Amino acid sequence: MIPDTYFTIDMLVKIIKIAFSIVTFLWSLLVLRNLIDLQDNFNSLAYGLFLIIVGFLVFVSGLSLAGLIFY
Amino acid sequence: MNPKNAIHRLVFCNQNQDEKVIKVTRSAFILELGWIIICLLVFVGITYANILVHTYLSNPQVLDLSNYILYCFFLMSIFYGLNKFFCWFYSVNIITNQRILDFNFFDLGVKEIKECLIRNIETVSNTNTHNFFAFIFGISTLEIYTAGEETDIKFENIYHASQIQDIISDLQRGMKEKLK
Repeated sequence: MIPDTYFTIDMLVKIIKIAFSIVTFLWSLLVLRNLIDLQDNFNSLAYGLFLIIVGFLVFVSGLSLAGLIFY
Repeated sequence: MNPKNAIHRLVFCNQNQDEKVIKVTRSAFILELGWIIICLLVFVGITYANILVHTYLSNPQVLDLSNYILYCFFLMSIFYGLNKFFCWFYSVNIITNQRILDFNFFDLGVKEIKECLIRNIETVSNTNTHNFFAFIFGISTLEIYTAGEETDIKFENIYHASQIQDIISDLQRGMKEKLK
């Protein structure tokens, strides 16, 4: 049997944070996928800049998710 | 860089070897104010909610969670704004020496691509949309009616519609004379 003290408020906070992080990360991946799909239809010269911006934000959201899971 | 060269370097899907891009237009950015206001409201709303939490609560765990949720919402609204911007940016109307293409991207994965050959164009009409912004900023809609089973094409809310109408008419006339 799991004791009552096992499930602390810290754990609850962490679970909620991970849930929000996962949603943010998935949303960022969807935007990146959409950008790639858009570029397939019409090759824009600004694609490199867009990719750098979205890539950086995907990296930030992924890093925060990894930080929550591993630390 | 000469803008004319930039246009000729543009490539779109299914472009033929001998096809040359003449004009590229997209709808006016001023009409995209809706999602910009939504993004700003999310920023302001979340920041205000976070200030309220910090004012009335003192539990460090709750404050930590509040800060993190704020950070996630900021990121999500930035991605929402970027996605809307990309959809606007890539929704272009392309006029080539052979055909007219209308790319419309609405949301994640929702798209509509229409095309018609120049020789099948029947008439081109320029209508002023019943919109206050359209009237103020000189934005209008170009409707291209085609013969046969090809779908009609609409260049919605574009600047300099009469100039583009003239380009299409010239191309149509040139194509008809070539076919004679």
